[in-house]
Amino acid sequence: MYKIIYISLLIFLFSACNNIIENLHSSDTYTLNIPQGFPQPSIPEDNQLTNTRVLLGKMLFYDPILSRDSTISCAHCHHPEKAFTDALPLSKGIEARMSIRNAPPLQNLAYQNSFMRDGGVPTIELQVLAPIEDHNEMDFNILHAAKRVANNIQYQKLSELAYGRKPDPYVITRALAAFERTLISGYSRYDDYLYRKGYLNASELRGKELFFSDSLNCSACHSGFNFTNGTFQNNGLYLHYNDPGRQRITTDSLDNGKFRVPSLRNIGYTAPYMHDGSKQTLEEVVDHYASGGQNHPLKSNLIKGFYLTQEDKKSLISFLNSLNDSKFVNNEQYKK
Amino acid sequence: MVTTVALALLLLACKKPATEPEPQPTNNNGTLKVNLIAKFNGQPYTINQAQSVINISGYSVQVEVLKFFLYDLRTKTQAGMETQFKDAAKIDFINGNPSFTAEVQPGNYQGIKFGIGVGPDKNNSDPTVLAPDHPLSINQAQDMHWNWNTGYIFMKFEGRVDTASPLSGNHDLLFSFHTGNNALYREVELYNHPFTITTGNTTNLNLVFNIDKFFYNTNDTLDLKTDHSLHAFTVTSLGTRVADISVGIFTLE
Repeated sequence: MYKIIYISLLIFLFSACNNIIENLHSSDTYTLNIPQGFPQPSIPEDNQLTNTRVLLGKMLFYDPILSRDSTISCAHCHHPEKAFTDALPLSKGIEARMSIRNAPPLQNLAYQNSFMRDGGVPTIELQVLAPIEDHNEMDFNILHAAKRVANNIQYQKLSELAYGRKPDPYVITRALAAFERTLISGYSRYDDYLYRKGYLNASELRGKELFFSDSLNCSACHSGFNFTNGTFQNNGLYLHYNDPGRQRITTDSLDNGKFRVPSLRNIGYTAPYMHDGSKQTLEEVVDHYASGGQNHPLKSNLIKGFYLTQEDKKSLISFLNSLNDSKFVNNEQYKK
Repeated sequence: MVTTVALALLLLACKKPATEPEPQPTNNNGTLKVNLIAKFNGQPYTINQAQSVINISGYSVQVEVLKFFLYDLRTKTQAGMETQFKDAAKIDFINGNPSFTAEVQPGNYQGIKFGIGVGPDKNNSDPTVLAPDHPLSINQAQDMHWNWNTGYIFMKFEGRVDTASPLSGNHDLLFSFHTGNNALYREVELYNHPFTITTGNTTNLNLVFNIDKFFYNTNDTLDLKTDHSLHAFTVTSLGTRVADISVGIFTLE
């Protein structure tokens, strides 16, 4: 009896999914919701956004089919309610293998011009290959993953609709990139304050003043609409780095310990912090910069240390938390 | 279930045969067949068969992996006109001496020229956009592509070595040279071996990888005791040395 119910349920789910797919058209343009203050992102000619492409990417994002043992999906390390991070210092791959870095938030990627914390990958499409094939993450081969995806009838249909071809590495990398480009966050309380007559309280306003001050210098690196200037900096986290950061890509010893300046958007959702998740709280992060960090010879000369009263420290953190975008982390469109 | 079985049968039926027939020229061109041959001191060498040879340092060497890309392969007519005859070829000696073919216009040629690795115009590009049968596609390149630092691995040369003096018989030291990076791309010009292409016929050209020359050139010697590991996706001193030495490895027969 249970078997019959189970099979009926499967048939129902299958036909429901089929109906959704049948109602999609390959030319349905997906319109990005660009927040005020944000520029129009540049989308590659061969991967213009359509509803079908975004849907296919989203399905793949939440499907463990891309990991060797089918146990983890992209969402395993990138939870929407945590701005697509995982609250762990270092993420865990299949068989609980430890990755080498803290999972970065997936937000406003459409505006990035290189990927990974060391900037070793030039496009979102190519970035897709890294976690799938990384021994410590999904530990799979993109060709094997593509074969698996191609054996699924739903994916076959969507792939044909989205890209006019069967699922293959091209389709998988494009579709995941398409979904990730839709993850745009620009509706924080600070954005409301700037553009929609929202307000910040006195503590947040004091924090804002400190953040943009020459004495703290936060905004020298965390600048622009996305609160990052996109450069690679050594922030004096260590005197000796186990992870060489950007040097891993360039092997230039002058790049030792340099990592991409992260966006501060949604920072309240993305603890722990730093490339290795070594700072548990924003208080610890502020203390690090206030101390001036370790005396690494390549430390950014903008990090000189500063003094903050307890009250000002609270204010600075209040301002940072005003960059949290609750609409982004609760956006049902991004969820499974 | 029935659909799955039918699909599986269809897939099996469509699967390419293990050995594909050589492509026939579609016009009045001829075929140039380039046969890669591994040799050590002029004698045939078989990769991954525990064949021991003594290199310039007196070490006993066994080569287990030899793979590389040839890029922008060109010919030059006796009149001096240079033409590309193949954009890229992936070479892997794991199953013996490999070969590849290309269509070439009839004529008398001085020899061939090629790059070792993948040229800067293509090295950092997206391998998923290429047709699955293209040598640089993700399907063909496979472990010759870095996904975390986008670019191709130009060459893999791996094996075991016995550096003891006198030799111990134990090849217990591993060596592994992986080169990459635009700055380590090198061109090899072998316009010293004339050949002729005629319409509808195949001309064979033997391109020899002289393993003995992997370890030295007139200016430098790689000492496997100390120089045994290189993963040069970027420019290092050893990477530059290996890239420079590799220019002298190839000869035509």
